[in-house]
Amino acid sequence: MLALMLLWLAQEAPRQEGVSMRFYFLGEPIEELCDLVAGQTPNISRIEPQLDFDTDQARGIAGLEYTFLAVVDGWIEIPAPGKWSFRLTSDDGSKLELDGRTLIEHDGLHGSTAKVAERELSAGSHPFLLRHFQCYGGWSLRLEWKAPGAERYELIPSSALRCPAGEVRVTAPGTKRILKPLSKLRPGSGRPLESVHPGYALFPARPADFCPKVGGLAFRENGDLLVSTWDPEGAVWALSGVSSGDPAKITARRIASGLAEPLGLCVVGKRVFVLQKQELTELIDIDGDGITDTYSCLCSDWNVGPNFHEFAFGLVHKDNWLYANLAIAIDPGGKSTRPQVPGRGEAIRISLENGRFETVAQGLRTPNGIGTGPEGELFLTDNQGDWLPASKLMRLEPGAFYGSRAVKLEEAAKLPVTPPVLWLPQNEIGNSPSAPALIPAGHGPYSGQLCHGDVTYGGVQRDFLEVIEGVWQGCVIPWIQGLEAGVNRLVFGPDGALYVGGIGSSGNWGQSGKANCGLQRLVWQNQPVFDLLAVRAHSDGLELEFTHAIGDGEGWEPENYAVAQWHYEPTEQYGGPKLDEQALRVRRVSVSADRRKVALQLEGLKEGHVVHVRIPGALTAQTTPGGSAQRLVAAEAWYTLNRLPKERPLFVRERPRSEALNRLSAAEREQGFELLFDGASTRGWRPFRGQGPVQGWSVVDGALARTGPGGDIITEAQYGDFELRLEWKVASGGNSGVFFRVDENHDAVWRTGAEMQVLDNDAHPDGRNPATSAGANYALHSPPVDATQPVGLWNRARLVVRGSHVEHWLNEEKLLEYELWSEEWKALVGQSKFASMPAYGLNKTGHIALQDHGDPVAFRNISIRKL
Amino acid sequence: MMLSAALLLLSKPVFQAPPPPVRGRDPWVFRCVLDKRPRMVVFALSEQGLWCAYDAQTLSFYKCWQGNVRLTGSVYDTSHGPQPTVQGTEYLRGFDEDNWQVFVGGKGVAAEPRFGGYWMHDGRATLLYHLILPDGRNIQVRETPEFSRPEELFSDDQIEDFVLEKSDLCLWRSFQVVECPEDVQIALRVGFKGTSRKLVEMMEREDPDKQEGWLVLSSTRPGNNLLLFFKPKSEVR
Repeated sequence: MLALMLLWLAQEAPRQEGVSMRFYFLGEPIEELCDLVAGQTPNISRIEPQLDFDTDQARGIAGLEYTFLAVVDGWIEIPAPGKWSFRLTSDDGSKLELDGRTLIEHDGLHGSTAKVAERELSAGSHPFLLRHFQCYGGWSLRLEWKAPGAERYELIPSSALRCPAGEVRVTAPGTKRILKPLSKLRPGSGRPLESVHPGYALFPARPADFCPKVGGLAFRENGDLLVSTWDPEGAVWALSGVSSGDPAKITARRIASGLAEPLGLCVVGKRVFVLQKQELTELIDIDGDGITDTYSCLCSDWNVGPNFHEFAFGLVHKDNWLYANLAIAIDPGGKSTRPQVPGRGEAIRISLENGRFETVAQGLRTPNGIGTGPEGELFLTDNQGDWLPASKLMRLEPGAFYGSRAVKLEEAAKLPVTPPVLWLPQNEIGNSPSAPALIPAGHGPYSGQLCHGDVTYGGVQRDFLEVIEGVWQGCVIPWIQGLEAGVNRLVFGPDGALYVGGIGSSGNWGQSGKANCGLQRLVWQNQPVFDLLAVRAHSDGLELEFTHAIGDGEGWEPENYAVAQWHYEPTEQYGGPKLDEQALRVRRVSVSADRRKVALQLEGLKEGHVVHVRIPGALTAQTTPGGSAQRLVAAEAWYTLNRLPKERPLFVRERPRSEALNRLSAAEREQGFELLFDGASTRGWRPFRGQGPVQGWSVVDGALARTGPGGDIITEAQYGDFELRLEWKVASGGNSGVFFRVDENHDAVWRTGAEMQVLDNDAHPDGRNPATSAGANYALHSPPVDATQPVGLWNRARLVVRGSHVEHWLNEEKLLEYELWSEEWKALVGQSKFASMPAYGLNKTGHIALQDHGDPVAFRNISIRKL
Repeated sequence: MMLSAALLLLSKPVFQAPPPPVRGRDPWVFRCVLDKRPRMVVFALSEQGLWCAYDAQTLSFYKCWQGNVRLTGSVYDTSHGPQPTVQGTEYLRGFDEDNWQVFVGGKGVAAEPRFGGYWMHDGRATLLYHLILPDGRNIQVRETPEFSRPEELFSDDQIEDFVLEKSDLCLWRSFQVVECPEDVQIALRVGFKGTSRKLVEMMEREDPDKQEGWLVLSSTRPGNNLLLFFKPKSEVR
């Protein structure tokens, strides 16, 4: 690295007395501590002097609801070394970690009871994390300590408790989502994505010893990437070799420094411009050595005060103007400061020719991002706050007023508000959106769409936009996560790759669990990836477009789709709830002939609403001939319906009568599969421990269905090592199972055969226990997620058995694998109901069995190949 | 013996510009909010803790002090709310208003002062000012602040003649006006309250009670050096 190394030692963030408490309202009962879906903002966030809560003492917190999760953290200052005791009292459960290790486990539903623990501690600061939940009834939470040699416990005084000082304590209304043991929510469908998009490869874009908090990104004509840093140094760095993807081949040279919070960079020809909090500056290298000689002030005509939140965000060049946004001042709690310096909350532009400054639009709050989008239009983002019920993406319209009343409270109440192009619902798909950019050619099906980063929700989201009767609107779709830091700036390079600049700080300014700096590069691999590409509005519903054809016969059932809508009303409260939230009935589904589009006829669509479409079902696509089926990367989108088209009905297509049921494809035949069910008869099956035709099972609509009492059925043939494929469907509350290596020397299939559970998880009691839920190795091995389709839809199952190795797959997800006869398996069997069955699981060959558990169940597309 | 502040007129520069000192930090010139002023340019002139700051909003000298800048705030230590503040002993304070006077043909005109940025060169930093005349002409003024000591500027005899001490601290403000038309004269208000001595080539309308005066820049006097000396108020290495 050629640059001067800054010996700026990071100052420890200041602390204050007390603990930080965050409350998350759950809206449903829980019985033990659970994890929250990532990226959610608490309902209440405050600092408490001590941990001493008791409903009897009425130290209630305004607005606290009856079921919540509380997260308390900070530091305990131990005055002297020794063995310290701690007593944690709670109603209901709690768990205390100290120095990153569990100290007290006191989980579960219970009254106000205490647990104690001791630990040898050194004098000084010890970080702690206390998680607690409350589920109706009485509430208590108290943390006490006893010094070495002391007789009594006492409340830990506030003088011994510390938490970060001066943080903005951001909150958001609404019920928070939890991760249940068997959650149907998965990344990209009810939960944030967790990984880099499978169509992209991720590379570092920085030397290993250089990690910038990125305030601005811009490429020079020579291919160098300029990076401005939002840090005490206030620098601009020139990075060479970024397209190599190899940190050892990337160099960073500091070319400017001493800038005040440079949150925008732009290169126009050979000229370099950087946007500081208070000034637009041109960096001029007079002697050609690459280092800035003159920091030339092009414009400092906008009003700015000393408030920490009066950022200037940018930059984008268009038609010889540089465009930027000015944030308003806020108080440390998050509310807009009163009064504001005039001119804050504006989108502005500065003439490159003479530095002349103009206001373009008003009514912004924290507009951390401006960029060029489709049709050369400029788009900007704004962050949730007062008069901003959720974050949003807007098109820059001269003269527009976007709603924040911080600057002109009374006048603003009378101004018409320009609606956003996209609402970015808080914590669902946005939190602190940042720079938008147009996806250029060379990014497969995504080219031409818009994308934007997010500092706190993290990652990069994709925005499909359309113009309906002159009104811009569209949908936001999850796209990329798994980056090293929350995303502040992004730029597409001359090599076509997407460069993302990371940042992070205290409070709500950073993605949980991520670094506070970063610079990475994403390269499209030109590999087929099955994804939700776009959602379009029609007069009578929404049309979903996919990157690939969905599986033959898939997607026709309304149960595949969950649709809801709501709207927002800006108020002076920070953020805002979803109003008038309602589920929309999918009246009819049509799948296009090429199976790339699905038309959802919806009842009750309303203009001015956000429509959330999620595909909880397992739609799949075979993206390459003969390849395995893929599930969707993103299975949800949020559409902002500013205008309901008047004359744009959905296409309608009748479901074809003949689908490829109970047939083998050419590839399957090549692989050696044979049908176990021909779709017309029960040939190949017989009653367990019986002869003759099966009873209680018949062929219904091309499926082998349990239609009455008749008992379990087994294959005529026996199998040792095999791959079994089938589809199953149960009625509401239904229970069945698929068994293998079954013999008839015992009175039940389950005395010898292991079972892959078939179940309606939601309505059957077995669904509450992961070990007996759908896809489980019944009673022994649990799936990590609920991979089932909504009840009433077909589930695709695969069972792979090779020697001792067994795999369970459900709807293209490998749920579990295990080794028969291993020590782990023996231990599990020994603790289960199978302990009294000496022949359980020991056969090396046997029949395949389908269980009659007394409930309607159907199977189809049953095939097997020997391994 | 310290004399009361007395003007010492120098008919011509009698010192050589010393090499720049070791600076107080890296970067030693930086922009920030300082003492609630949002458009400040701060100079960490020397590692001996001598600083000066200018307000680019009012195009004025803010103050000179010995000490530090407490760099606190979201970009420095992640705290939300506080901003950097001056720490230490103040030596000199400037004026927020009425700093500039412009005369065209001997008559005062209202010129618009604008901040032009700063230029890093030869280890120093020069501030760039623009004065926009009513007729649209742009007069550029440059100022280079620097820290020095008497022994770096003068010989021992000169030090004695000027009644200086080697322990004195010197804030050297050097001004140039670039391509000033013949009919234009610029005056900059400067203060010297708190100084023990000052050396200046030309100052007009000096007020010894208020301890301030006006530096004059014109086509006949495009440059002017103002050296302000202070007795150290605390130990300076």
